[in-house]
Amino acid sequence: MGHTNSGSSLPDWAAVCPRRMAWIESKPSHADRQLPIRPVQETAQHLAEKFSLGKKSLIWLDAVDVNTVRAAVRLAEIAQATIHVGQSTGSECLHRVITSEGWLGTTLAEVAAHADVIVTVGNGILTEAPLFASRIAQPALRRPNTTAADKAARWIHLGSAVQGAIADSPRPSLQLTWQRAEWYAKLTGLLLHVRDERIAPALDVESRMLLDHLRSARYAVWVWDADEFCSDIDELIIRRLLGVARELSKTARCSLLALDSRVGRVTAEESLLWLTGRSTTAMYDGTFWTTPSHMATYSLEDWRRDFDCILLLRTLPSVQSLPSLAASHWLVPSGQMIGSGLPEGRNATHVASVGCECSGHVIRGDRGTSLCCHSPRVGDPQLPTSLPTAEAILNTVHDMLRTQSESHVA
Amino acid sequence: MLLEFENATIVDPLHPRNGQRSSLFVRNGRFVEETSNPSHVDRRVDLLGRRVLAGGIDIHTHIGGGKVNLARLLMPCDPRSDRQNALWSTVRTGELYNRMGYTACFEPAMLLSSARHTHLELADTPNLDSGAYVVVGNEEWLLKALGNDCEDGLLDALLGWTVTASRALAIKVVNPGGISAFKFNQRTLDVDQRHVFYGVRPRDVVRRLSAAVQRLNLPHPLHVHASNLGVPGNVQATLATLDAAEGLPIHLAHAQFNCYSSSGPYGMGSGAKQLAEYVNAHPNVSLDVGQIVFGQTVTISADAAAQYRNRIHAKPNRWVVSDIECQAGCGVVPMRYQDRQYVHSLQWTIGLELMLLVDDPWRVFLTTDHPNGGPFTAYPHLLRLLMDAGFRKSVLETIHPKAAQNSLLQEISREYSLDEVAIITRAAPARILGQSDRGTLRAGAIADFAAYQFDDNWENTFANAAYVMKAGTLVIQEGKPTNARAACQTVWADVNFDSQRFANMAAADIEQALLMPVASLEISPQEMSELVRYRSHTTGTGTPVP
Repeated sequence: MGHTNSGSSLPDWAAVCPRRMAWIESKPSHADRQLPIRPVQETAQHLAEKFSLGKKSLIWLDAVDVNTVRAAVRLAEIAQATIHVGQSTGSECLHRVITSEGWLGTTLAEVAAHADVIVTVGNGILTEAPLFASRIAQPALRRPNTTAADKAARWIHLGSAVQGAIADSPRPSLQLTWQRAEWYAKLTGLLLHVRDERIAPALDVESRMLLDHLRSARYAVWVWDADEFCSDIDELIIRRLLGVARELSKTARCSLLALDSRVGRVTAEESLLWLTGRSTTAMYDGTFWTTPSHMATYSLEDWRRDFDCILLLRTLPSVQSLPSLAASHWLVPSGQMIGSGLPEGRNATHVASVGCECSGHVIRGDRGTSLCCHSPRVGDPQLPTSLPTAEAILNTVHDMLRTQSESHVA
Repeated sequence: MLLEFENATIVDPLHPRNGQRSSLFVRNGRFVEETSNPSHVDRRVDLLGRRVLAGGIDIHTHIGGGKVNLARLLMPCDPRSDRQNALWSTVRTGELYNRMGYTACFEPAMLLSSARHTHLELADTPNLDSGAYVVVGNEEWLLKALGNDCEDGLLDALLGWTVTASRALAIKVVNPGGISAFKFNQRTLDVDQRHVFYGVRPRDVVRRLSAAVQRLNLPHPLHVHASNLGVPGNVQATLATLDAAEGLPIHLAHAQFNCYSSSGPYGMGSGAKQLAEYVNAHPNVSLDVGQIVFGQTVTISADAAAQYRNRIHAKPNRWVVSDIECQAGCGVVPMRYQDRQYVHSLQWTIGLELMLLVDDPWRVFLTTDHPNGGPFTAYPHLLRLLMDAGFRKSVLETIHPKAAQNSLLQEISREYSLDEVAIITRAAPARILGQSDRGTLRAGAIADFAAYQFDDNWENTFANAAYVMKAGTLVIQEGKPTNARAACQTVWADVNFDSQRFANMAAADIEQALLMPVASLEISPQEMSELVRYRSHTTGTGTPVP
């Protein structure tokens, strides 16, 4: 995604995100089709036929900006459709914990400025947020003490061994190599010790080291990628992390950060929540927005089976592959690889990519910052300028359905 | 198109025909002078029997931003019920405000880094003009500068840039220094106590910020969420905070929560008389009350330290407290105010005492600090309590007996007049926000009005306006929504500041803290009008307040 550049003093390595470079360097394969640029009316007409009243419709938000969600909500209202934020299992798992007991949160700048013990949990945070280790965790080790009472900062990693391809790649000061199946039990042991060491079972050496670090911290943080924990067992692991944080917070500061690297998904959840009161799945019945409880456990197969028409929306560039949804229509950003085996060309449309051909608002994965991804100057001859935005297409579909509805009434 | 609303009983102390029956004329979204040629009128609406006030203005209501959304997650609403036990969606919020005759609302806690999120939510709250106050007073870079006793010029540049970048209307300080202190594990910070790292006192923060607000010519005084919120005996800290402004204009937010003495049953009593006397004696001070309403609500605040203290009272037992981007924090704690519980009953009496003991209706504002004290939908009920002493006394008898016995409400017989209601809910909010074209029905003002049919009592009357117009568009007609979308605006302050000084002396600290260029945080007017204010819904553009 593009950002305005003020020529700030940030180091060059900090300006290059591996995920961004992966998008820029990704090229459509020979199997990919270059989609023709269709007029908005044509695409909208096709969609309006799909969304015509009486059909059960689903709008799948994959990675989108705020204005696309706004347009999707307007369309869903007139079409009485359901909106779902795709692949939000990790978010839902997290939400169940947050909304059932007390939560202590933090954001990236706070971790960078204050944390003297950072515990990264799982390898997802290192692969999905590749700059976290180099910009925040590693520099924390070099940060001067913030108060006289502080000890040197520590970065502890729980997961597979951190291996860097180059000599100066980030490395934690302590690596815990617990097997994934052991996490819940070991964290339970840790929690019992934090609560009351007198009655807790003995800890192994690594757990003891972790406990000592946490207890000596002024500001400790557990950090993980939001998709690290998705299942019921994973939910229990989050509760253990939270339990430790709550106990430690009685005398020091300890917080949690579930960092979602999929900015478009976070944006979709937040904007859907303020517009409808629902965060991942919202169904409009003509009067109210609700979340049918049975949809909370839907698989891809369930979504495919349950809806006559599925519109998949992605407006932010992403190297993630598109979900196998058998969608009736895709609106995907220009440059997005379509690949073979996907629907015929007439069911997919390239739209202006947010941050490249059009501007749009997104909310960052720690939910502490909202940004505008500005497009480069209008009229740049290197860029295709005739691509429609997803918002424009959805609004046109909305207007067509409204006209249709009014003529029926008449 | 010229509209005439005839036979309106004008309730507007600023209008030359206040108290009289007259016609109101509207063209192009504004009130205009009476026409001499009736044939020019394109449409007439008869408001016979209706009292007409300007559109209501809520100067302190949490309806947009990240922490509001977090509260929606924590307390999901039942869409089929308007009963307040949760937070509504933005669309529903706008509808409920319109129903009561409100046409402008201001979010008092916007963070620099999530300003876009706040403005987006406000823009998606239909048929309400909006604006927001940016929270300062706990940023790492500001406290560092104040700790180094920075010169006024640098402070002005820093604050001027912050207001401009975030498109804020005003500056709010929340628990000055205290939220930051909590990040250093300092759990309390009284007005004259020093921050453990930056060495700054809350008094210093308030003094310097209130002076900076004056120098920057911001339309609204420094908006202050004082130290020690919710702590018994905190009225002393509140008075010390107000003193810190040294005579400069200062606005005390949700004063009820900072108005407790330490004497009384269970070690807590009312400080309303003390605070009201101070306000009456100091014309530089204004306050909004933050009245509590019995029932379920959810408290949301940037004061993470106070909310962490409050977590033990959470009902239901779930909460969120978070530190945010080296600027502030947030805390979301559900609360159930109970009329048979002493402290809650005391809080209820204090809010009303403040409203009734402060003499000048131009300096006291009716709020519930929505949703912290209760939902804004309780305003009609609160207005009835203010306007009807008999009703007030009858409700007083239903609360905790010790709170009732000790309350000054037993002796206060004052009843707000309709003119005073128009002042505290319309004219005064407009004035204190520097919005000369709102809060009044005079020619030239934005055509926002609400027409009420008196219905048995004031609560029923104000609960459902018969007609509501927003910027020349009728959004409520004969008591029913018209489903029209009015052209709405985000208002912000136009500030002159030394951008070069900011770039040379302050930008680097912000970039180092936030790990991003400051330009990423700057919201342009074009961005506001083309992206934030959704084109398909509204046609308004942002309006800077000169």
